[in-house]
Amino acid sequence: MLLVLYQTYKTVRKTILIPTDCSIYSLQVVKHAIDRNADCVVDVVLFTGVFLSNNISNMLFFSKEELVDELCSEEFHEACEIICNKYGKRVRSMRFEIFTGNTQAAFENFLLGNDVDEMFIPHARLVYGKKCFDPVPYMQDSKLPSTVISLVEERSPWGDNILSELFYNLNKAR
Amino acid sequence: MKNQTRIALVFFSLTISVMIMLSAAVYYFAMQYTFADFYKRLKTRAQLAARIKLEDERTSLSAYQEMRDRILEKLPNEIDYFIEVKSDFNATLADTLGLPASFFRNVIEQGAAEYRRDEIFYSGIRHQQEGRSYIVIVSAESYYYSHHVANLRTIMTAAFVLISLIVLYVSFLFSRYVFGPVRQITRQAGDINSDNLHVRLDVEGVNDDIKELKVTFNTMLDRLEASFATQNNFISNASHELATPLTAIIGESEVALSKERNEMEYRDSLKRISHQAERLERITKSLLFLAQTGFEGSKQKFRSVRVDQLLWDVKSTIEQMNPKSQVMINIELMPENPDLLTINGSEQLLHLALSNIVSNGCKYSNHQPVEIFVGISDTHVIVVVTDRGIGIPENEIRFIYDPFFRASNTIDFEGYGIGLPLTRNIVRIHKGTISVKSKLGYGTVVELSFPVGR
Repeated sequence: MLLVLYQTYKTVRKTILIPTDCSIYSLQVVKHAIDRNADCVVDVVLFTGVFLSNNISNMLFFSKEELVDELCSEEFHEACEIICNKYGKRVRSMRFEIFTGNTQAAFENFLLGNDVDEMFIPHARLVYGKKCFDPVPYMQDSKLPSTVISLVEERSPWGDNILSELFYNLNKAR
Repeated sequence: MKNQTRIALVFFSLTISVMIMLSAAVYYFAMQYTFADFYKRLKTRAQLAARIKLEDERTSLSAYQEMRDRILEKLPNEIDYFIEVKSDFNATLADTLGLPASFFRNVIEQGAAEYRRDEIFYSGIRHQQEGRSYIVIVSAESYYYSHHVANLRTIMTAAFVLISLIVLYVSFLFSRYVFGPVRQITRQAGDINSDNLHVRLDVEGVNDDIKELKVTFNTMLDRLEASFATQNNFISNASHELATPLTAIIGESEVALSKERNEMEYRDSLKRISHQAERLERITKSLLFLAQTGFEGSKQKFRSVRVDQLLWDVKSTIEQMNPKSQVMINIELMPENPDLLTINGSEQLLHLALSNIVSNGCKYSNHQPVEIFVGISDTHVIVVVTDRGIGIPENEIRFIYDPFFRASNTIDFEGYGIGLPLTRNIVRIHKGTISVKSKLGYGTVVELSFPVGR
């Protein structure tokens, strides 16, 4: 009975996982991922791999909010809000997570912890920052269904991480 | 007196008065303690002296004597006095010692008393021996009082003077520091005159009162500049804005008059002409409004404006003005919920601002497609206009808001350099921001963001 209930609840709700390098360019995937799940309400989990510091004081005073603030610019958050607002109630939530593991098992656990139903992998060269790593290899090795979305290689000519980048390649990614 | 000096003096006098109070308290309590301590020592000596002098028993006498000699150090000018109290009190004795009568009375009545004359301290006790009563007085000069306290006084005075000097210096530094931003504003504001009204104060840094002041000053300058510019250049402004509907009216009537037409066609053309004339009137009104009132925010009638509606209006206006224009409104990221799309503003002015940007996009790209995107973040409505025009040279992009400035690559295009400054002022009175990014040969992107009007 409970299982049936859970399954019906899951058909209308879906958690999708999308890797990002904290650039507005990478957010193109989000829109396509949501578009492909037109029949359900989605929770979007954006994530990036982060090398955590081994320094004792850094570990003591670790704060996820501060780390996310450091990684993501204000424009990035604004771009996320724009995407959320476009879909209104169809995007139940959008949050940013960090994956700090370095084994496949850790990644499976991360998927379990975030209750991920589907993953979307951008087929593009994302540029990860100094503290971050590309989590896509773990995603490819995972058993969970994943969809590859190829992004346009062409970057906006007006510079990186400005809001217009979100709009620039809007219709081009497949 | 300058405010800066006044602040410094207030700071100085506050610190100094606190210092004075502190030093006085320290000095007073140190003195009190010295006195109390010294009297206690004298009293011990008086008690011992009484025992030595008046004790009968040999053995204990020598023990007392030894105690006094060995353990208690000899005080400077230490003198012992023994006075037997008889029924009639000998006042002359008191006089010879130079002590007040009240001292003796206290000794007799309370058993002990203390007195000080300059540096000589007296401590007296009453001693009972075999039914007879004696007054034992020990006097000595207090080394602590004469030397240590004097030393304390010297140190405190020196410290006081030194610290006063330091505090004086620090208070001037402090007031300089406090008034630094104000001086900076004064200096920057002093450089602004009617020739360079576009210059603004730098408002970087922490969000404090000074920044607020600067922002207020800048908005005041915006209004000043806008009214200056609109008033100075009203004619060119007006012709810039009025020429297009007039051209449309003339064109329409010429086409209508070029040959014989049926009533339906005349009706249509008259309708179009009247539509353009209405627009002309609107523009004239808004321009007059602009010129007469400057940019007084309070006089603007702000209403809820639907951004999507506004953009479609702009699109149709631009396409009417020049049928070759291709304006595309991209609604990919437009929210599904239309309630989010409202901003507070004056529709006429916003229309003017947006059509300026879009028509620039069309003009400088030789009528290649201009795309308008809309997106709503939680706090702002964002409108992005991209074109594939000639772009703006990188080193000239900071001048684009100067009235009558035209980039070096715009010689082939008609224009007055009024549109963008006007647009920016309109955006500013809507508390929005405008940012222009451009790459030569690729095109330009204009990002407008307005606070949402929910």
